[in-house]
Amino acid sequence: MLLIDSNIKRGSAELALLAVLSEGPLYGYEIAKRIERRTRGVLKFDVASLYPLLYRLEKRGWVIGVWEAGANGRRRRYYRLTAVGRKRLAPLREQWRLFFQALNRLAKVSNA
Amino acid sequence: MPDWFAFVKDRLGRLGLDSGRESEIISELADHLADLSEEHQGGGLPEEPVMRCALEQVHDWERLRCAIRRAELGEVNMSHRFKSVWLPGLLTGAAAWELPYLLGMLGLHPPIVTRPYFPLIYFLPWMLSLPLIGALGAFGSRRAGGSPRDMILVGIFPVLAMTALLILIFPAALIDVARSSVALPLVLSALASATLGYVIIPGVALLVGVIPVTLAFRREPKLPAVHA
Repeated sequence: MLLIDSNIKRGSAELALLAVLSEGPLYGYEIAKRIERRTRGVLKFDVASLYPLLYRLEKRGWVIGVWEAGANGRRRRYYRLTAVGRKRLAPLREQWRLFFQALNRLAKVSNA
Repeated sequence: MPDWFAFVKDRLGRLGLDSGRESEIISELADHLADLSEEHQGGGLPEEPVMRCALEQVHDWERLRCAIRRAELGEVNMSHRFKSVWLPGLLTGAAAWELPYLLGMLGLHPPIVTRPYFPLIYFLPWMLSLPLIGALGAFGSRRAGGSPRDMILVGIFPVLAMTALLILIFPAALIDVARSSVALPLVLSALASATLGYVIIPGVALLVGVIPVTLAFRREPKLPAVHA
């Protein structure tokens, strides 16, 4: 588990969420599983970290949650990226790309 | 199947949102825990570790409640530390140290036991009120999502503030001694009396209220009831 400053952590969590939702609608548990799988367990969301963030993003209008019946008939709250969220994702990706480039120049993290 | 909805509802308490939204949130969180436990059970894990795994998703329900409220209501963006420690701590300090003056205004004048150069307030109504003030401070911290450590810090905040003040006064007192205007034993005796009267005794009185509240709210997650 990495200990990172809370602002960086919050920013990276937002990016992770928006990035997976840009691929299609998912419900909370699926979001957590997909992030964990894609990052090979480096990033993990539990109930306590996932839902407050989802609700915050929903309040901002970046995502929208709608109750729908899933493949097995169970009703789930599926989250989708809104147009505002999609617009927000591009600059967020760019900011993080620049951040990692800078960090790499400084600490050669990609060779570590 | 465990009744996850009842479990989450019990742990999360009232969110102060409209009942429809509140129920949605509880359902969503309960579904997440149900999915997690089903997945682990599908992987062949016995029930007990499956439950533990699901319970580890939330270490502090009060904190989660506050985070959800902040997200939903867009509450003032105060830092968690400020809300759970500094704000209740300052209020507890103000309540503890202003109370003798308020009681004085009500006609309850403290009998002051005087030591050389320094009055000690052994004021019974004040002393009796300190456990309640400490308990309220600890409870306020808990309501704001404070940990048991935060609760204790807030509960004894009045004496921590007084300790800081005495530490600041000490060099000034030594300067007086150096100027030979005051004798050193007198200064040390005054500081010792102040420490006893304004830190140790009130500190113990505050802890009498703080400890039970901290213990009462330091609940370990319990396994939900399993229904056949």
